[in-house]
Amino acid sequence: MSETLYKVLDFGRPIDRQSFGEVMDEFKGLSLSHNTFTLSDGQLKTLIATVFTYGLHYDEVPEERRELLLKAILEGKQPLFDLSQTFARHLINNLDGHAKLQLEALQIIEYDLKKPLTNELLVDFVEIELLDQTTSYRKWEYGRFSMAYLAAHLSIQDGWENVEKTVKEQKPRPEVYLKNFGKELENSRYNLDAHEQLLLHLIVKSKLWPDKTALTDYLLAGSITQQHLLGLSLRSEKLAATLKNALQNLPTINKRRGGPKL
Amino acid sequence: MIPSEKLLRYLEDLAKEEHPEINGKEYSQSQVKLAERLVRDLQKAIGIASQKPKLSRRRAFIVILEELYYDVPKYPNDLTLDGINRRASQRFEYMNRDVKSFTTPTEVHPKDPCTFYEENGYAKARYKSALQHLVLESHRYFEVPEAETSLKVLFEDVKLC
Repeated sequence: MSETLYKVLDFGRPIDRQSFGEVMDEFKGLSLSHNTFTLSDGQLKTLIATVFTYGLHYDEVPEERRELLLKAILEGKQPLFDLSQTFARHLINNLDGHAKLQLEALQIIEYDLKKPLTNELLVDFVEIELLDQTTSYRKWEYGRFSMAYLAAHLSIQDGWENVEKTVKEQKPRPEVYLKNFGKELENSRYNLDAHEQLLLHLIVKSKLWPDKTALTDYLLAGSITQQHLLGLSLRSEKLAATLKNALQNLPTINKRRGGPKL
Repeated sequence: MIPSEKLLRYLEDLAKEEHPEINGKEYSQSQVKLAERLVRDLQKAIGIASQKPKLSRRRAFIVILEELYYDVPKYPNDLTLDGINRRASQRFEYMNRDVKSFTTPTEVHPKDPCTFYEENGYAKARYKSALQHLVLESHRYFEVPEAETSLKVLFEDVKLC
């Protein structure tokens, strides 16, 4: 049997950034006798991205707290939920022909925005066409997207030029550089969890040595982000501070000069 | 916290293995499979527990129904979706929601889909889409090889009708 091939997602096409709250605002003042509404193309995609985000991350919290999690996603309470919502919008841009037809069919249905998960056809579409792909063969693509998003979110740009300059000039062996970076992470006063340590390590590696970053790295990052997005969001400031400190404190003199070059 | 030396050693080992690279606009299933195996080993070594696979409720039901009944022409009369739900939720992680969109095993995974969906092109397209992912990625969801094969045969039929 021939090998199954998948197309790499194209992130180049434009996406909308409307939040769920903004959609709700557009319905303010409409008759309260109605609970359900048809949605514009943009509103529908926002609802889909919201349900997708809940579907990808609901199991990070125990059952009794899932309603709160949904509320936090709907109200945009945690900055990192935007990561998965944005990924969902790119997935929608990359749907194949038959899935696009399903999406079109969803445009003629009315939706209950106050209870997003009761819109069965839409939830089914999100699971069948978006979530199952993201949790299986596209998980590494979600990971690659997450690493890029998190690098920006954790303000890796601050002082990044210096880091790049040092690496370019001194050409440290990646494993030596990353080992020292790991040691700095260990010194963090915020006591990082194993998955946080790993993720920061992978982000720095992919920024400095993209050609050494492979599917396994992206997949690992995808698993971590999928399982811990809420936690990462809650600890964003601590992670950003740790990252900044670790990069600043890295020894600037490469003691292993003469080692094999990159 | 994992000592950085240990972490690095694992990551270096990961890099030493045959390394699935990404280039171009396509990637293959075997690249993903290899990467998944390597990552699983690493997660085990670091002590990150693996979770049961996430799969949509609809597809999870299809997997369980196919595994239990691939070799019979029709479902038992007293078969309910509650029982299927119980089994499926042990194997897979999916959103539990209180909805009545499908109520019988036949509505989820009909024994004769071509006849069942004859009058409803939209529902048939959704069913076909549900099957396609399960067929392409069957290695991650099925435990009964015969059911994996029978679903592939069924999918070929559905594509033609």
